[in-house]
Parts: sequence; C-alpha cells; structure tokens
Amino acid sequence: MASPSPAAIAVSGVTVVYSSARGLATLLKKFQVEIIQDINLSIRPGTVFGIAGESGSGKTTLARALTGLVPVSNGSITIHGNDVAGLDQADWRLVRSDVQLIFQDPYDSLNPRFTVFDSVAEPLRSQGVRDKTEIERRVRDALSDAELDPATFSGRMPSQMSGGERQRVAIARALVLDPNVIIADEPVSMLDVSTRGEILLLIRRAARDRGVAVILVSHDLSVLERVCDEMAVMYLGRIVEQGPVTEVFGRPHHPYTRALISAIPTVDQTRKRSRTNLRGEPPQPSERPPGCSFHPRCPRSDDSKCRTETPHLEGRQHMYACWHPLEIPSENPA
Amino acid sequence: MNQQEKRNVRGAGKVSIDLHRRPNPFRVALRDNSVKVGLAIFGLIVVVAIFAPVIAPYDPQERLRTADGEIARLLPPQWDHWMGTTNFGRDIFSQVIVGTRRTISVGAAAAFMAVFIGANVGLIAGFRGGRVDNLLMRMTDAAYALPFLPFAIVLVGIFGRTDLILVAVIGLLFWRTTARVIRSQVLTTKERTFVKAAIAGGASPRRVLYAHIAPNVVALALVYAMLLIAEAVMADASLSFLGFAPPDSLSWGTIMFDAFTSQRMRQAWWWPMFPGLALMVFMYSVYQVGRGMQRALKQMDIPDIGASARLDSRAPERRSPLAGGSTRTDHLVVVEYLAVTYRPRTPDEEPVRAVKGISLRLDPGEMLGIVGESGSGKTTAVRALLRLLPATADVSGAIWFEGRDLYGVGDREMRSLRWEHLAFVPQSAMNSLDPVQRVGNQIVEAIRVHRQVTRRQARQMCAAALEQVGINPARGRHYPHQYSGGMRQRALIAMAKVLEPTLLVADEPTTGLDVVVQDQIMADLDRVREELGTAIIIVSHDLALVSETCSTLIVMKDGDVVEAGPTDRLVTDPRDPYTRLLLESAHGSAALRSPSPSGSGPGG
Repeated sequence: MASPSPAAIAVSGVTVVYSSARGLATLLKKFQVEIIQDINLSIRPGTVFGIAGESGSGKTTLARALTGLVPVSNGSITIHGNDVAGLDQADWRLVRSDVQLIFQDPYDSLNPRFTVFDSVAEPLRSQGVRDKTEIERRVRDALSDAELDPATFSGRMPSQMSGGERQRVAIARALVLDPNVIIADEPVSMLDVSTRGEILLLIRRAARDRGVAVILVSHDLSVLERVCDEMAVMYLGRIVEQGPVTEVFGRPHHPYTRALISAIPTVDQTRKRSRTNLRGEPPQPSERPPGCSFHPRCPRSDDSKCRTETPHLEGRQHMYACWHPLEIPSENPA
Repeated sequence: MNQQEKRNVRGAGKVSIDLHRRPNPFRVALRDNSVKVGLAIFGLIVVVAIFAPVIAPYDPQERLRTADGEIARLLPPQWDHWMGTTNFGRDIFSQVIVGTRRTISVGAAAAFMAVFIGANVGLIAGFRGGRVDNLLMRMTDAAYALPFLPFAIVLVGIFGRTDLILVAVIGLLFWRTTARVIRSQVLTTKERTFVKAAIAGGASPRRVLYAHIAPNVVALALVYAMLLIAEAVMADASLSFLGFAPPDSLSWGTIMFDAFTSQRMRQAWWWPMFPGLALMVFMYSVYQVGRGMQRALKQMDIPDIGASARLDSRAPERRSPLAGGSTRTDHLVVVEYLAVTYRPRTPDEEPVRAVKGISLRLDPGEMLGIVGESGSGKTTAVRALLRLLPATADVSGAIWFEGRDLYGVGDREMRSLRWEHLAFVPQSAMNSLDPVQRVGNQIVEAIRVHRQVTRRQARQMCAAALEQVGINPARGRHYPHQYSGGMRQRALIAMAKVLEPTLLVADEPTTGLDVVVQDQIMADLDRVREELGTAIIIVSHDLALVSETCSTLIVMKDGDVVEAGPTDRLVTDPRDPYTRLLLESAHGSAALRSPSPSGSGPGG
C-alpha cells in the first residue's frame, strides 16, 4: 500500500515516565522518573533496526511502549500514518494487526495446549477472521515463510519441537497478520548458538520479502551486527549513538559504544582484546547523573562540561551524543 | 579400570529434571499405588450407589420381623443382618447401601457448586486484578469468617430442611479455598509469555481467559474438586447427624442421627458404627486420589536442568581426552568414563543418557571450559562432579577429587567438602540467594558453618571477599532484591571463594547478563584463580567467552566429548566439524568488528 510517509514506524520525542509513588503523590514531579527520554526514530519498511544497551538502558521499555504495553507520557508514535501513542488498551487492539511481537522465550511463548496450526491461527481468529479456507491459506503461507513445512508441523505440539522450531512458529505467528512492524525483544538469546544464525537470517529475509520494518532489541551486539541495517545504542533511557551498523561498529564515536563492542568475547587469538575499561554498572534512572549521564563511568570525561551539560544527538547519518567523541571524521559531517 | 570402580552410584541430591515433554499429571498420579487403591474403592462406592436397590437385601425402610413374628429390634450383626438392625427393625446393611446414593449425590452436588463458584471467582479475580480482585478476595475472606454451623442453622431455619438447602450451605461456604488456589495459579499463568503473545495478537480478554488461561488451570481445579467431594460429604454427614437433613431421607449421616436420637447407641454399637465406617472408607479413598493428583502436579513443576539428550543405540564411546601416563592421585580432579543416565519417569518414556562416558583431568590453578549447547550434557556432567544429581540419575564411572574417590565418601564428609574444597556458583543467582536474608549475613553464616571463627572475624572475611569482587562491603547489609543481576552473581562468587576452595565450578555464570557485566565477572573468576590457585571449571554455551579465560577447552555434544585440548590449538586448528561450526558462529560477528581494515581471518 502506498503511504504518504516512507517510514513504517516513526517515533518522535517519546518519553515514558514512571512514578515511584502511589496514590495522590503520583502527581508530584519529584516522584516521577523518566525511564526513556526523548526518543526519535524512523524506520523504513523492509529494514531491520537494532536497539542495543545494558539492562536498565530502557531498551525493553521502548519496545513495550511501541507495542502499547506501556503507556507513553509524551511524544508520538506513527505507524502507517496513524498516531498510536495516545491510544488506550481497547483501541490498541484495533491496531494490533499492524504491530506484532516476537518474544524472547520460545519455551514459554506458545500455549502448551495449542497445536502449531492453532497458535499461528490465533491472531487471525482474534481479529475476527472466520473463513476457514482463508485461515488455512494464511497459516500455510506464514509457516512456509518461516521455513516450516506446513504439512509436517501444523499438527505438532510445542513440546515436540526444538527451541529453534518454536521460535519459527512464533515468527510465523507474527507474520500471519501481514503487519507493518515486528518488534523482536531478544529473539535468539535463549536459543543454541548454532541455531541463532538461521533464525536471524529468517528475520532479515522476512523483513526484506514482506516489506516489514523489524525492530530488534538485544543486549548482544554481535546479534545486531549480523542482521541489522541500522542501530541505536541506548544508555539510561537515551539514545547515545545511532547510525548504519557498519558505521557504528566500524567507527564507534561514543566511548560507551566502544566499551560495549570491546566487551564482546571473541575467539580470535591473534588479537587478544584489552578488557573493557568500564567499571561498575549503570545507575538507576532515578539517580541520573547531571550533564552527560555516562560521565561517571566514562574514561574520556575530564572537564566540567560533561558534568553539567547534556549532550544531544548530532550528525546526520551517524549520530552521537558526546562532548568528546572518538574518531570524528575531519570533513564536515553535514 | 577395575570392576570395583565401575560400580553404579546413585546420586542423591535436591535437583531434579524435567524433560521438555510434560507427562499428563493424571497418568503420573496413577503410577502411585495408593492412588490406584483409592480410585478402586471410590469406583466401587459409586457402583454401589448406582445399583443400590439391587444390592440391598431388604427394603431399608421396611420393619422386619423375626421368625416368631416379633419386630426384629436391635439385632446384633448376624448372618441375615450382618450389620445388625435398628430400633425399628430395619436392616442397617441395606440402609448403608441405599444411603450411599444420597450421601454421594449431595456431596458431589455441593462440591460441584463450590468448585464452580471458586474456580470462577479465582479466574476472574486473578485475571482482572485491581479493584475486582480486591472485592472478590474480601468476599473470600468473608466466606472464611462465616461459621459453618450458625450459617447452616439460619439457612435451614429460614428455608426448611431440604437437600437443596444442604447443598447450598456447603457450596456457599466451601468455594473459598478453591478460589484462592485458582487465583494464585491464574496470576502465575498470566505472566507466561504465551498469554502476553495472545494479548499482543489482539485476543479479547474473554478469549485470553477461557482459551489460554483456564485450560492451564483446569488440572488444579479437578484436584480441588476431588478433595472438596470429601469435605462436602463430611459436612453433609455432620449436618445430617445434627438433624438438618430432610425428614425421610436416608444417608450415612441420617442413620447415625437415628441411632443418636434413639438413645440406644450404648447398647447397639453396630448402629452408628457401620455408617461411620463407610464414611471413613469413602473419605480415605477420595483423599488418596486427590492428594496423589496434587503430588503429581507438584512433581510437574520441578525445574529443568536441560537434559534432553535422547538415548541412541550407539555403543558408548570411551574417550580419555586428557589422559597421560599419570595416576589419579597426581591431579586435583580425575574423571574417568563418567556416564549419567536418567531413569524414565513414566513407562512410555525412554531413559535419557545425558552423559555417555567422558574423562578429564584438572590440575590446581587450571581453568577449564566445558562448552556445549542445550542437551550436550555439560551441566549434568558438572553436577555429577558435585554430587548434585537427582535421585532419578544413575551415575557410573569414577570421580577422584584431591586423591579421594568422591562417590566413596559419606554424606557428612561430602558436606564438609562442599564450599571448603569444592565450591559451586550456580546458574541462577536470584534463586541461589535467600531472599529474606541480608547478603552479608548469608556469607557470614556460610563461613561459620565451616570454620571455627568468631562472628567478627567472619564479617571481616566477608567484607574482604565482597571487596575483591568489586562490591562495596557496606552493601552486604542489603537484601538480594536490592542487588542487580550482575551483583548477585558476583556476591555468589564472593561466597564461593571466601573459604579458598581448591576447585570452583561455575555453571553458565554470565547467562542473562550484559556483555560489560559478563566481562567483569569473567575477570573476577580469573582473579580468584590467580590469587588462590583455585582450579576453575566454567560451563558455558559461549565458546568465545570461555576461550578468552580458559587454558583448556572441552566441547560436548549429545553427552559425548567431541573435542578437547588446549584453547590455542582448539580455536586455531579445530579437528571436529562441530567445533568448527561453533567457531564459525562465534566468528560470524568478528569479521565486521575487526579494527584493522584488512580484517583477515583469525589464526591464519
């Protein structure tokens, strides 16, 4: 379908606020904690966008906000031309067919009492599709797209399948409604190393072939590196670096991104990496340091600017939020 | 290896396994002999209730006469009336048989009503949550507060003595336990991912509740239905005994009521005894079945330690990859031909050979990585080494630790070895720390169990250990839930190292943690090895991770060692195709990341 906006999903200024108080005190500003702050994203159809970060970085909150599971306090989320940020749960159900989810745990995400066919048909039935032949056709297509032979797998129970096969069923279930956006939160972290690759390739192929925008959330940068076109790195609820994957990995500008990349274990004996120089763990969002949130852990923070002024994302394609970026190209970034 | 060392050892431990195929709880329950007996008796009683008029030798209400025309009053048990007769000359055996009908039907109807109300209240309260939950749970509390007898007296007083009122009295009170149990089950099921997936798929709340949640709760509801039948029958019998039953009805309770009101109970012991006995047998059978089903359901909930390797027909390959000419007392750990087989839990399951005969040697200060995917047997192998396998595991082979046969030492000696010599950092740090005790106290207690030190000295040791893993000793005063995942794992490492063990086994110590924290934890483990000379075994699915810190690697697949050797050799010159596959998936990401523009392949 031709849409006026080239983005399958556009996120603008999204902020999620959580109140640590209960009752009337929730109205007081001092109890309000911004879990994610001013997130801007625009994701084209047919591409895979990665979101990286440690636990507590807000990446899962962002994914949930995009699916309406967490209310958005500020900003807009435009999916296929409709702003969905302000919708309540009942209205969200109407746009569910546009945004689908793939979960982390393939052993828990399928109802143990449903056959593969029933699990994949479930979203269709929930959306009110009653025509049996249509259901059958669409389930068969979705299973084939997930590279599962419909004849072999339709009647299987989740208990008869491996983790990789279950995750394929979950992908088929996400595809069956022909969504514009699929959000996958750590889709391979519970799978065996040898099956991760094929599942990631499948997700990438599904994005390309069906023109779906896929948002892939992972703490494992090597996963993002393998499938994503673009990616963003989050720290304490903010995006600190964003750009094409090859750029971000090849020439990280933000010290945090570089620390994350250097922490990935490698079998390469020829270049024993130096251990990451990051100490400690990220603070709680309620104890956000002033200025650049990363400065207490940053090896490059040395002046008062880092401690007082918050850096904002700059750059056009490859963006970063840092006062002392690494490897900044000498030519004008614009 | 001689015969004596090849003997079978049955592991005795707390950990149990769950094969991914969940057996049917009712079938599991049926393997229990007491359940079989209970079900047989219960079935027999139901059959008796159905065919009561055919089985009963006399009309239970008929006034029988003896041969000489007298009314057969209060005859003791004898051939013609083997439960004796009543004051009015009625045959007690026939009364008990026919009374079965009303006893069971009132009991079952009341139980059905209670389960129906309880299950719905529980489902809705658990599912809706918030105000609805609050309201329904306060109602449940109210039902708990209602006293049974006064409630019965009032209802019977208002509506009269009918069976319906008895059913209502029991049904309206006894739903409360069911409601609570079902509610908590719904709360757990609601958090499971497939329920979230259904919601994300746009399923209506009604559909989520009745298609996804309810079927997963139904087994539990059935167990409670069974137990409630027993309670309801008992309640009905008590009410009948107190005279709340309709005037001409016949049940075990009313027979006892008649005996009581006749004031002849002291002479005619048989009159109240036989219906009482029937009640006892019935209660016994129902409880046996209900408890058996409850046990079976509990058994289903035991955690999974990931043994899914299936038995294959190949002969066990016996490899001793690190073997040299040395003897078993020359090394810290010597494992020879270790094999572990899990016995099936139901007759239709096959035994699982999780580990098929592996051997390894480990020296002090050495760091060994055991790499494999799920089902490779890596976790089972180290749990065998720690004697932490469930009772369903058969272990064969020999394990020598510090020169002693580890499966030859007694339980008491094993306990003293643990922590002091043989420390374990388990996979899930959250479950391994006591949630209601301060982290520091847990470490102090562990020290004081093994060492004769004052509390003060133990505290100092604890503070030093926490500091060494990068935790501010002041945080020892905090509870585990105040720690992040990485800190919990590091606290466990501190606890494991504080007694300076000779061997530390870490099972997937960084799973679920972020790369940065993962890196810090591996550095902590490496420091323990350097400072204390502790030998360390790390079990992981991540070849890249262990290759950075371990000097020796073992790659496992389907319970077998496919390749073992020094890390440098194994990652640069893998000989087994499976090792190569794991290396390739680990390399898949390294190519792009290479800082040098040439990005040449690793190791040539």
